[in-house]
Amino acid sequence: MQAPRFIKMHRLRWRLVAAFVGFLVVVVAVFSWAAYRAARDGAVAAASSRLEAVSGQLGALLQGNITSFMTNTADVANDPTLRAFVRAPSTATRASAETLLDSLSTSDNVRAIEVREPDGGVLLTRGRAVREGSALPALTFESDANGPRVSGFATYQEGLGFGVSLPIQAPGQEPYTLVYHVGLNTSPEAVARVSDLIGGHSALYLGVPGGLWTNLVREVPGPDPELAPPGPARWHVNADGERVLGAGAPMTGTPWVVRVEFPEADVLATPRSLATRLAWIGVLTLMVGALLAWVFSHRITRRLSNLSAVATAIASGDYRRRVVTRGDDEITELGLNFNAMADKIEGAHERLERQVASRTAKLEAANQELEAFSYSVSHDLRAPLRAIHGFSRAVAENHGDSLPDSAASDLQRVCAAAERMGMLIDDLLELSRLARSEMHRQRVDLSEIAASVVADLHDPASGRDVEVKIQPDLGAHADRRLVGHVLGNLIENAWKFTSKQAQSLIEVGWAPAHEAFFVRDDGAGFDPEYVHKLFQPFQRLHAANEFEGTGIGLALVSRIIHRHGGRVWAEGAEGVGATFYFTLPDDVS
Amino acid sequence: MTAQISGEGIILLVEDNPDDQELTRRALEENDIANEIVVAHDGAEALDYLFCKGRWADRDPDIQPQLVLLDLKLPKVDGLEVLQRIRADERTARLPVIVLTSSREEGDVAESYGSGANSYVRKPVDFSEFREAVRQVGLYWLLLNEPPPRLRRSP
Repeated sequence: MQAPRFIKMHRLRWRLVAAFVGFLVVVVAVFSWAAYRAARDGAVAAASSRLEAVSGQLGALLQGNITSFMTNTADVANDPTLRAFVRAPSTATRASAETLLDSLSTSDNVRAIEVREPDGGVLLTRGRAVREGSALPALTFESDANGPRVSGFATYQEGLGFGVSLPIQAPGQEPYTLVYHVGLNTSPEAVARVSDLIGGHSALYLGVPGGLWTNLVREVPGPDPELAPPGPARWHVNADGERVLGAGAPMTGTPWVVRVEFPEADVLATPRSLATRLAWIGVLTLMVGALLAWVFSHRITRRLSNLSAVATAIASGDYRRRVVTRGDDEITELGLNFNAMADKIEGAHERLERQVASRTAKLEAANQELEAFSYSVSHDLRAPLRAIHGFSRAVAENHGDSLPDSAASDLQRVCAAAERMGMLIDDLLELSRLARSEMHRQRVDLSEIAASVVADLHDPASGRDVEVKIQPDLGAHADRRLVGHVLGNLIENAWKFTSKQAQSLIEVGWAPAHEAFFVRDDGAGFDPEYVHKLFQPFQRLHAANEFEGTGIGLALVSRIIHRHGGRVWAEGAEGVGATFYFTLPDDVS
Repeated sequence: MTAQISGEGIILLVEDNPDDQELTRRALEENDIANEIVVAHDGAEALDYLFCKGRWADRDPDIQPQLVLLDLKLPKVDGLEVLQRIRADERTARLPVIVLTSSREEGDVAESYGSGANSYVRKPVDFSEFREAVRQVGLYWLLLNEPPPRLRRSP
């Protein structure tokens, strides 16, 4: 198995940084948002209270103006001259009243003074407007009010103005009224004062809902009718399409409403600059945080990478490598434990190496002994056999005539036995040689090998009728020579054990049910009771005079298949035939 | 049978087993090979004969066998070493040496040829086969084959 490489370490390094930066982003975002919200709410609240202050102060500013008129007017309304005039209008009383009104209308602000009848008709008009011959606008007052009343704004030749009306106290009569036409004080000083108060970009409206509106300088279109009545501060979009925060306040003693609207940019200027600063601080925090996280994570992962490198080195066989441990944290502890484990592994490995070496030596010694034994068997056992055979033959040939028949037959048996023993020795040597020979695995075509075995066996002169079926493309990863021995032995066996019947069938193929190759014949078969003896050397299930052989073939087959890590087994019954299965696994064990 | 094979050359038979000596002798005889047979019972004796030492010190060193039949498994000095010494010495380097042995080990065959054997013949158990093998060896090496010039006996 391949040891894991460092790729995962890099991932961990960046994951740590990413997690910390992500955490920072969330924290910075939440704090910034909360701070911005608080600042904005504060700014809106501040704007609202400023609105109230503005309308209050503006009210007070105008109120003084009006109130002084009203006090004056109240005095004039109770003047006996006027009372006399309204009670009994005559040339004399009229003249006195005109004189009085003329004296009262000298102020710049007063454009005209009227005395009105209860039905609204004008009884007497005096003042600058009359002298200059300009028309006076109609004024409307709240009818149910009792006492001094103030009208909405109206347009005069010089500009905007308004009216103040007071009843003239004449007992027993319908009330006549005295009406002042007053110009709005639009001096640059007053405008500047108000402008200072509300701020340069803000809009000021003064007027009566449903009537004329002014910004103290000139007549302006009024606010949205819906917003005209007094009300608390709220956001809306004005006629220019800008979002503004506006509030209206009633002016005591008048039907007037003061309305101030601050542009959104003004109200939110402070929270927005705060937000900008917070954003910069956030970016800076993130950068510093990311740097710190990277340094920290690098320090951790570098040590882990180090550990991993040592583990990889050990995995690839360098058992002496150890981790350098510094510090007193968990990674140090891990390193110490790792080193302890590596010590054990190294020790175990060394022990194992020594054991393997000693066993290999023993095995080699045993192998050499076996080889010497085989060699000596090959030489020393065969030499006496050759003598037995040779001299028996010599006796038979040289003295055959003088020997009794039984002696000649006995000598024949001696020779046959010697020959047979020679074959046994040869087979035994073959068995031990195959067990020791080196294996060279390659792709082999079993079908091709089987076909060549069959071709060698086939002898037209024998007159046998044997049908051979070989499944094509039987491939395996095995030693070609050894597999040749296996197929040779199995097919020769099949050939041999079908020799006593007129027709026979031999099959070579792959059995999917067993996942094994097989060689099958319909010959003599064997008694399943003795199947366990089939693969043992020199074990035969048939008498020698029935089928010839040394009994070594299947032992060879078994040994070769086992060397390939495979299995071999047989199925069969007497007189029915035999099937030999074997497997040749691809992986070398 | 074939014609009488010329009895000119000496056959050196290096063989420790007296049975095999006898069987080889008989096989040669039965094949009408009448050459003189010198038997060496071990490797050391074979070398003594070839290099005229020990028991063979008085031998004419100019006369070398026409054929050496060499067993591999021998007492004292084994067959392979004998072969190597034969090939190492200028006087005997071109001697035809036939390895005649019981072994069929691949290693033995390879080492024999590696050391300069001219042929490798395995002794069969069956005497008829053995006799045939000896006949063919004798026919080829003593009759058919032209020996190297230096080995020819001076007239």
